[in-house]
Amino acid sequence: MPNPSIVSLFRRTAAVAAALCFAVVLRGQDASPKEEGGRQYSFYTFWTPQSQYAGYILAEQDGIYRDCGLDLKVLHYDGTPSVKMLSDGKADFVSLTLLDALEARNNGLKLVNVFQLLAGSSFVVVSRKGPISTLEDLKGKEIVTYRAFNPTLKKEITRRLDGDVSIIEVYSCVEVFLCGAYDYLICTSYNELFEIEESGFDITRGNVLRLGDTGLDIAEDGVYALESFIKANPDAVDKFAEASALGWKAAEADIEHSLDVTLHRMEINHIVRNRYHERKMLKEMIRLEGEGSDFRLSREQYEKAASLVGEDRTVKVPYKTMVR
Amino acid sequence: MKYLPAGYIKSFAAKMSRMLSLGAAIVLLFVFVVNNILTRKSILDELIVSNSARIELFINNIESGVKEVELAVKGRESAFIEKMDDPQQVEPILTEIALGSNVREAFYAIAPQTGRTLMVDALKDPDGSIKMLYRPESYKYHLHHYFLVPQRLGRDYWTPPYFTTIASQRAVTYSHPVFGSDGNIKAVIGADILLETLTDTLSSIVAKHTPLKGSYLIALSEDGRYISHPDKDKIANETYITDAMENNSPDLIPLVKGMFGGKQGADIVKLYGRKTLVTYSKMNTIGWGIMLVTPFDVLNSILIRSFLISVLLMLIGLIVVGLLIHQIIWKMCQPINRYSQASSVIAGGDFDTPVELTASGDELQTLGEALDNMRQSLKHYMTEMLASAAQRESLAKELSIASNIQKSMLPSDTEWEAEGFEMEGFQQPAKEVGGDLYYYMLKGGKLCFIIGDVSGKGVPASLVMAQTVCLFKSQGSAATPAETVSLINNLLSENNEQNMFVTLIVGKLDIADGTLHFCNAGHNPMMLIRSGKATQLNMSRNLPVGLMEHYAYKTDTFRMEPGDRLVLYTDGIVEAENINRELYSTDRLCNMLTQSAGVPLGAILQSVLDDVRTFVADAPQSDDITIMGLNYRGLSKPVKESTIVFKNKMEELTRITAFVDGLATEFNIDSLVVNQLQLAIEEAVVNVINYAYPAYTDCESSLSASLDDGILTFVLSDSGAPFDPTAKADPDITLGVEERPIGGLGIFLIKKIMNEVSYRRINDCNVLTMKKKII
Repeated sequence: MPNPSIVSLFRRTAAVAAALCFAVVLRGQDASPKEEGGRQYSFYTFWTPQSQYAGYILAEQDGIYRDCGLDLKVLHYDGTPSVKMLSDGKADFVSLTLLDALEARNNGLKLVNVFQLLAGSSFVVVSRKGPISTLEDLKGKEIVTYRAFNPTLKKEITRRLDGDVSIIEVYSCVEVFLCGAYDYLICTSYNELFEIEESGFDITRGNVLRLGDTGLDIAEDGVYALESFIKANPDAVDKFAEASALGWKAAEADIEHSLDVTLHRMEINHIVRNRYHERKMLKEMIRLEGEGSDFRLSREQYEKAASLVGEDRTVKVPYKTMVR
Repeated sequence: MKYLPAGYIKSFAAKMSRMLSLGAAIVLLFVFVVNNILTRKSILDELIVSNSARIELFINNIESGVKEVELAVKGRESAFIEKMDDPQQVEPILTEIALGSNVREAFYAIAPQTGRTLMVDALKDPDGSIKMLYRPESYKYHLHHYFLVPQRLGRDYWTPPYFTTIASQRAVTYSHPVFGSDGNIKAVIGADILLETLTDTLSSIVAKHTPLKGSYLIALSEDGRYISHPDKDKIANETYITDAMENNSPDLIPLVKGMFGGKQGADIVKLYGRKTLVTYSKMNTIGWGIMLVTPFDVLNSILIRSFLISVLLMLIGLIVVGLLIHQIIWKMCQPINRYSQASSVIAGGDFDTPVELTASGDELQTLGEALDNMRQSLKHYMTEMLASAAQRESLAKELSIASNIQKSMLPSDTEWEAEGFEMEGFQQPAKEVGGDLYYYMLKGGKLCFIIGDVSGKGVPASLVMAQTVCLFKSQGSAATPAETVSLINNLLSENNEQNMFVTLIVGKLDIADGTLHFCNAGHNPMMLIRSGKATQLNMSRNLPVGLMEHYAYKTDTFRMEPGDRLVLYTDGIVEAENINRELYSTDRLCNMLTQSAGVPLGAILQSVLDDVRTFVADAPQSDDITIMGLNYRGLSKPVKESTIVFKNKMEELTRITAFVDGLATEFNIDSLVVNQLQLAIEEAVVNVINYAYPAYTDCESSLSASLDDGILTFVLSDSGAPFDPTAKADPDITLGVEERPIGGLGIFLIKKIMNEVSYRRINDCNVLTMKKKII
């Protein structure tokens, strides 16, 4: 699932500008996939560099991909959606949330899950108007969230609340929430939740509701590639999965080193960086991976998400087809 | 120190200077510490005030620019409302706003609720020209916070700093909602200010109003992110919370939260590991927080500088004060020094030099006058004392003469030994002259003696004593003791207005037959030592002389045997007191004499005197002490001498035994002593017979005996080989018979029996002399 901006408007815009500059550089370096045999592969993240991608960045920076026999370049969000990067053949691997991937598959793009990072949902609802403990507490409320919030999830929340809720997608949702324009905010637990807390908002157990606790524990970040690519480059896909898993394990084993690498990547991409924030983000990502994760999307996780997608809410693409 | 006068360090002025300087130092130190504390508080208070003023100044400067933008926007609201339906007419309004000094861009956006959407920007180029930008339909401005927030909250809104793609810089946006007459929102109108414009304003005002060196400024946007910070890397990257958590500055969080909650003031917190004073306030317009941070070590450096200056001044002040005090005291002490010198002069005996007085009218003048008075008094006193001393010296001299005269009236020989008797006396006056007396003299074969004690002490007693002795000397030998005493009594009784009296004993001993006539006039009875035992001699009681004229004194008679001893004494002996006021007593004297019976007369008297001294110990002598002893031997029989010559044959022993028996009969020797003598002589003679000559030679030896003054002397003479029996060591009689060496016992036996054994080699003869006291 794409993780649209959660950072402040300022931060996001700066990141976009930096990413654009970065993209220009990349174009100069010919970021398109190379041919088999000495070919360089590419992996595109659906947002700018941050600890959300710490394992991949570390695997690239510390030569884990190379050691696994894969020449891989990690590309970061440059304003182009991941799905488009994949469909245009500009990236061999892209990061997406499961629901975004399923929607893309329904729309005809034959992408396949080759690596699963987050086994559950990272979404939380934050309240500035007293405690919330169930989804029902949001009935009749206006909830602000970021632009391009996953429509399937938005629809499912609305459905569960009998349509008695309004989810408004805005730019700078954190600023809007912090200044009191809205009383409820849907955001990720690994980024915006920390961001609003770091701005001075008091986060308590009572004013935060995890969607995962409300029956909407949908798997999120994963890595996808086209069926055709996988068929043509099965070894590369396997090596990518293996090396990415090693990268995340390495990040978990040495968080401070991983932060050094990630922050350096953010710096050269002119991204606003904050070690404290990135540390918390990385730890939350590791928590959301699930203990003892094999970085594979389970059938249960897949079917739970797939059953939400589409008007008829049925699994249209079999698990074996969608998940390698 | 060698340049200072001797004793300067210990001088009063130096001591007082030191003490006063020390006192001043303590007071100054106290003042200094208090002042330091107050100064510290004062500096802190002043810093808070000045920092608060600076912050207010900074805020006012920034807000004046901010408010200018607000006024530029709001001032054109009415015109905008009139023309908002026609974008062409709005453009000049936007241009006016955009031309404002701090404005980078002005805009308006029509609320979609009005049924149409439009957003127009008036962009100011660096050259000041304005360009209009009509946003495309696809641009969702109503989903941006600069539109959404004022629309929803119905109030003005300043965004946090953000990166604007149009300007490619960070900026803040002011948005103002425009409402229609129906109360519904019609549009949002606003303007951007580049963040750089505000931070430059802040920097320039900070530069103009430089805070205390070492202080620094922190500015935070409303979302808690750093806008200004000495660590440039923190700007835009860090919020105060991430900074506090990452850099161990937890105090920062409540402080900033309080500040954003509307609190302003100054707090002392630990920031980046340093204790700091943080003065803070919030801008009400754009919601920024401004903090002026002054680390305490900056304050401390000021305090240390102040401290060092204070210490330096204090030290200088102390030195100056010390010198001044010293000079003042030194000057004030000059009279004391003069008085001290005057005292030394007086102490040296010069009472004639007047004390140089100080006319200061204070205590020192009084002291000087007192000293001079003392000088005069001492002079007077010394004059009197010298006269008195001369008088006392004269008196002492006279007393010394009197003492010598008195001593000359006592027997010239304190130990007097004559045929038939031995006499010894001792006197120890309690003062220079005393009232005790004793005397003895031999006239016509009669030993006359007197001992007495005059009542009272000192010169009067000594005069009576002298009178009594003189009377005894002139009359003592001519009459009976009673007559002598009567004579003395009658003479002393005459005109005895002082009622002085004398206790005395006058005695007269016939040396030839031992008959003693004596008269006791109230004196302590005599002690008789006979056969090793001392007893008081029974005596008639008569009145002391001088009390009653013509009193009839009686004479007593006693027969002394050779070997008898008489001891006479005054009450200074028996009434000697120790510190417990116990008396020596007659009984103790009697016991002492008994214990000393076998020793010579002088030793007896000395033993008594030593015992008295031991008894009284440290108690002063209160009375004259006189003791006198008489040892009666009787007149000796003529010296008898016999000699026997014998040969070196054992048969001669019979003759020798007969010779000794003959001596025993002739000299009336006790039979027990005779047996002892026989044994000793036999041992000596057998020695000579057996060993003096070679065997079978016929040689002669001699044994002579003589009696003189109770001492029987045997002289055994042989011409044999030289042999000194006295040189042989005494045998060890503690050994058994078997263990003892043969011989040697004979000589040992002779030594034990005889009182004295001596050997000499005279004219090639061995001469062994053996003496035995038989009386």
